[in-house]
Amino acid sequence: MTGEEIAGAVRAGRLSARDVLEEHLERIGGREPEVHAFNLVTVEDARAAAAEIDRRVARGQDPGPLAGVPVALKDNLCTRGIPTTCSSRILEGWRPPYDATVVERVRAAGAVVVGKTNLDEFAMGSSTENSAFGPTRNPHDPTRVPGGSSGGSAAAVAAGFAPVALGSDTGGSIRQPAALCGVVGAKPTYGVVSRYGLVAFASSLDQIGPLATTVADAALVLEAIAGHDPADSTSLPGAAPSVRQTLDAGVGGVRVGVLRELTEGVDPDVLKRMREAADALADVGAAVEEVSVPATVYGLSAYYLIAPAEASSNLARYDGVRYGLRERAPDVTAMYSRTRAKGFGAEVKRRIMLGTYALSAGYYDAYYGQAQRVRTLIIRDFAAAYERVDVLLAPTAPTTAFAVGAKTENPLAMYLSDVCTIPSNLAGHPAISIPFGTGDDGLPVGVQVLAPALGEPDMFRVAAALEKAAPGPAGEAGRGER
Amino acid sequence: MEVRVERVAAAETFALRQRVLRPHQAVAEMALPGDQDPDTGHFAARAHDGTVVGTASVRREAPPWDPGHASAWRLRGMATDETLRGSGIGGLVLAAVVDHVEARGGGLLWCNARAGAVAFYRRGGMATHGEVWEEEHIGPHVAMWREVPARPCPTMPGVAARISARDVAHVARLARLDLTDDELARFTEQLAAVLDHAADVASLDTSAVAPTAHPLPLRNVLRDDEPRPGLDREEVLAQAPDAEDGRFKVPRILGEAP
Repeated sequence: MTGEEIAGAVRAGRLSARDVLEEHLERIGGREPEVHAFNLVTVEDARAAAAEIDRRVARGQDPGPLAGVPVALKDNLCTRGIPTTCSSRILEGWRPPYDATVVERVRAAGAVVVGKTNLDEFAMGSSTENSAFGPTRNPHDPTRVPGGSSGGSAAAVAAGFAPVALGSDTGGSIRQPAALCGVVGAKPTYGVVSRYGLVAFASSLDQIGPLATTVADAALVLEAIAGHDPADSTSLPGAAPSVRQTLDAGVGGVRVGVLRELTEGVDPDVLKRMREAADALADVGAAVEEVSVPATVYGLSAYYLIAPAEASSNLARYDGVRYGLRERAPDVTAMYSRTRAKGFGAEVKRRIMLGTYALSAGYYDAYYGQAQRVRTLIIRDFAAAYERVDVLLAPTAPTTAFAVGAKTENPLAMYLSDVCTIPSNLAGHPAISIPFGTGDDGLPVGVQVLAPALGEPDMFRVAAALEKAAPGPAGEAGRGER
Repeated sequence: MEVRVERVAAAETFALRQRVLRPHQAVAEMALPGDQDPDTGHFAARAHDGTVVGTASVRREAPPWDPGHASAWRLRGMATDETLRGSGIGGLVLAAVVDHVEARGGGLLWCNARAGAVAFYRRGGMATHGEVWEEEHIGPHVAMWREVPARPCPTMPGVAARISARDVAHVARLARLDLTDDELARFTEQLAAVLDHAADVASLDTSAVAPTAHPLPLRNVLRDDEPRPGLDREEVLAQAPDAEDGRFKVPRILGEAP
């Protein structure tokens, strides 16, 4: 059942939130040891929340648009009193003293939080192998990675542990795992969803968004979490874009551009699916052409200067003083250095080093300053493209899910997994990944729809049309085993 | 005529190359091995209306006379629109290629030149190597080459081209990270690889471009300064590694009297 179907049945009193939850807990019990999507399954809290939803329905109240819908939360979203680790030793056992705004909002909409999902440590990675608590496996093939960094959330949805999940996307961390796991994943416009309570990675890029089995469910969750929040200074004023209203409006007359630069270096079988997706949109009335956004070729380089620079600053707070791990030492400086050496994994250290270097005296202009100027060029080139088309189409990732361990020794090869998703983060634009058939290896392929800032209504509309046209039921392999 | 030379996707160069250099082949046959390598650079000169009027590509490849050469670059697909020859477009494209090689540590730049283009390459500082040979469908060719010096970071003269173990150790101290010798060696190599990849960004001319710090033009907002409840002190301190008298406790701070 989709989230929409569950909420409809629970609100109408045809189905109890308790039964829905127990069914999902049973599935988790069956496959979680193999998949390892979760850092923590919050069984007791979830049962209490489901019971409360059922009581409210019995009293004739409406618990909200996500009534009784199980939701999995990426473990970098703060949950009051519930451990929030970011899959890092440095935060192991930390219980935040407050809830993230998105957590409050999904609960207020009637959702039942089932657990905290695994991620690459502090969301730095593309395979969920950089977790201090061990990798998550792809439910379609456990020898493959689920993508990352929201790999736990994507795997949880693909394995049927929860119909919807929340992730965070700094350079593709929602969309790339969604593509590799055969589910839908959306990164909204920067500022549409409050990041209060999201543990910061790269503040000018981070954005929270939904993962789901259907485009309609992703839209449902987005509407529940979007909207201004005075607690986040980057939150956009005014109402969030409404996406559900126009979901089934079709794509007649919509102008779609295939983003030429993002088709470079993509595996032929993945590219073939993307071309089929473009043809499918043309078949149902969209005007499709090829469009160039030249500066996107610099996206990867700019991202891997900007994101580590901001991370090195954001992660300075993990110093063993206020929370988390502390290593004993005779003086405070040694305590900082030992705590951070012990608490952070290799990829986090690598990015802190890279970012500290890019920001250090003598290098700032050549690296960080220069990358920020490239960001301006990318925004400018996107603006020119969006004068000709309404949305852009591209592959989500250059390959299907790769083997566990295949790229762990070569950071640059791992970074290349994000080449198609990064430009949207640098521009602050929304983008969504939709499953569209499989590659030659039988594993899911994702196609990405990109839109200009606040272009979510068009983006979801095109995504819904692609979902209808997709060959075979999306994510069949994972669901078949439910 | 005024043109703008920019780094582009490989496919952008195919149409002109096919028309000017390889009319006996199809556009689809213009793709070459190594086109997608991160170090490969494809360049196009564009007229005011965006039309591609000049092209070139450069990739890491050793010359046939020195197959073991570790830092050689092969120039390929150098083409200029037939109607615009002699207007300096080729020179601008070649300069972009040399710039690309300089920014990546320099090395031997070589190509197989058509006999008619030898004078052009000589003006670019290149010399011939070996005998002229006949290439089927195309005509007489000769190999040409030059050395391109490594360049320090262009926007920051004096910055070393490659990060050293000493730099990495210094950065680790700044970041308050104790590194083992093994980590130091590994990070030096891995950071150098990432920074090499970023050389294309470091070498772009962006003097006329303003930096973007945040993607959306948001203005700061102020609220009234009214007292509101904050986090519960006991709840917060309960999460601290060490606390005393309602405060966080840390070990001795250097230089302080015990």
